[in-house]
Amino acid sequence: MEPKGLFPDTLNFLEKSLDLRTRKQRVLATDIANADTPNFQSFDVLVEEALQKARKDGEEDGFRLVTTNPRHMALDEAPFPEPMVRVQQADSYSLKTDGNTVDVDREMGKLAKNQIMYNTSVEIISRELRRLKNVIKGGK
Amino acid sequence: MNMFDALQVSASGLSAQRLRLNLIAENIANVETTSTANGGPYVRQEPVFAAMRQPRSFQDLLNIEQRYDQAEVSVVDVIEDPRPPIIKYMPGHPDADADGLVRFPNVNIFEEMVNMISAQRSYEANVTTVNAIKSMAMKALEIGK
Repeated sequence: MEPKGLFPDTLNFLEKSLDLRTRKQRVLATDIANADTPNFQSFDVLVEEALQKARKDGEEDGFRLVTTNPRHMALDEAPFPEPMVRVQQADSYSLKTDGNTVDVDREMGKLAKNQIMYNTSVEIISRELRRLKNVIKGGK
Repeated sequence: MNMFDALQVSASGLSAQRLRLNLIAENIANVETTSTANGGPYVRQEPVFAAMRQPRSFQDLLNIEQRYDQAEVSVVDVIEDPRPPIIKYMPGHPDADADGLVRFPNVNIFEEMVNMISAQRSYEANVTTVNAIKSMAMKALEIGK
């Protein structure tokens, strides 16, 4: 992918990853809040899978509009795939008897990981912007 | 979809667990209460949790498919434990019947203690989630600095 305009594609990609991470954080918060709710099913958001799919689609120009006439309007970016929200299966060794499938320890691990990945994305965006700023100011 | 919605979900968990702890405290405090305003001994109280999807917008209401992956927890009811009271033979007790039997609350102190630890752990898990969401929101403010 060649960069279009001032901002590199990486930024767009990272912004989307922030969106997905926020969404995942909310679903994890839901799971943890409902750890004692009878018959509540645990959910998981597949962020990495959605990002990989987006990258693949971007490379293959999968969802982009094809312009066959110079007067056609081109869509700038491919639509971002919706992340898959999947119902998490209960562990076979789960001792809960109320139909609840939330494993709090596992959710806490996912929460920590998601937070770190979010912070990483923010850090990379910040650095990318700082890099641009540095170039604009001519390294001064 | 933003961070504050996620905070709202965790807050609902905190409030539900706090109510559960309050009821446990009530049960333990009344473990020997043999007479109440309704007559008879104190009856053990227990909260009923349910996952509720709170509509945030008109679009949410229009979505026919109810999605529970972002559901808040809410206390739909507080029920009385149907187990029978514990009966003890105490003829001198002011609440004793003609046979000298006194009806004590159906509260099992060990059960309450275990419940208390469970509620405490759940509460802490929600606090951790709130802190994680908060730190993510603060981190996002660093973009462009």
